[in-house]
Amino acid sequence: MISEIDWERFLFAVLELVEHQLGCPDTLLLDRDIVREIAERARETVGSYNKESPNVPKIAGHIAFWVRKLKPVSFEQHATEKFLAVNELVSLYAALAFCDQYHERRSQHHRAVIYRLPPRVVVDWATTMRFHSHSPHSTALIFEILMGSVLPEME
Amino acid sequence: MPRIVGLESSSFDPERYRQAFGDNHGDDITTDGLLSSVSTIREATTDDLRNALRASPLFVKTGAK
Repeated sequence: MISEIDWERFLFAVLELVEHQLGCPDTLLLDRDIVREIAERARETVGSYNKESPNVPKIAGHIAFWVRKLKPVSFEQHATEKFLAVNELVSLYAALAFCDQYHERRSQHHRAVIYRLPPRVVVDWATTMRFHSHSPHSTALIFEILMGSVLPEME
Repeated sequence: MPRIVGLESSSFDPERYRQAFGDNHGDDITTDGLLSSVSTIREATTDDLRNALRASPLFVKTGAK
């Protein structure tokens, strides 16, 4: 399933999103070789569940982990502004895009959770992913909880 | 002399053990589906988020005095 994804095209789109979020257009670089490495590593560690078709939050967690670990994103030389946790921000939004594909949980409520994460949470999340230890499986668990049914319905 | 401990009639089931991570309901994920989600997230981006990111100590201006 994830072996059929065009990772370069997908992550390039996430970089465009993050440039927009940061207000820093035309400043990010994506390393093609590291993208290929991420795809390989994610395929291997998602395989540790020994599942034919693991649910989407699990895949999201592993993608987030490998993007923030292998850091395929950097800033152009000419960039005058930088967000030091840019790889972590890219990893978060790549994972959220995966979570949005979780058809079983694709209610307006769950989509709102993805689209309306409080700004403070986004900044804190990117920061902790930069500074602290997170495993692929613990990261996956965060997305499982995010897409779970523990939050009240928001209409 | 070593000892082996354990219940006489243990209910440990290797088949069930291998299924410890239960949810196997993955969806068909396509590149186009992911791009659509990225686009929707982009449309939902607010100035509040941009301001919060730019206010972070991790947001730096190079060459700034």
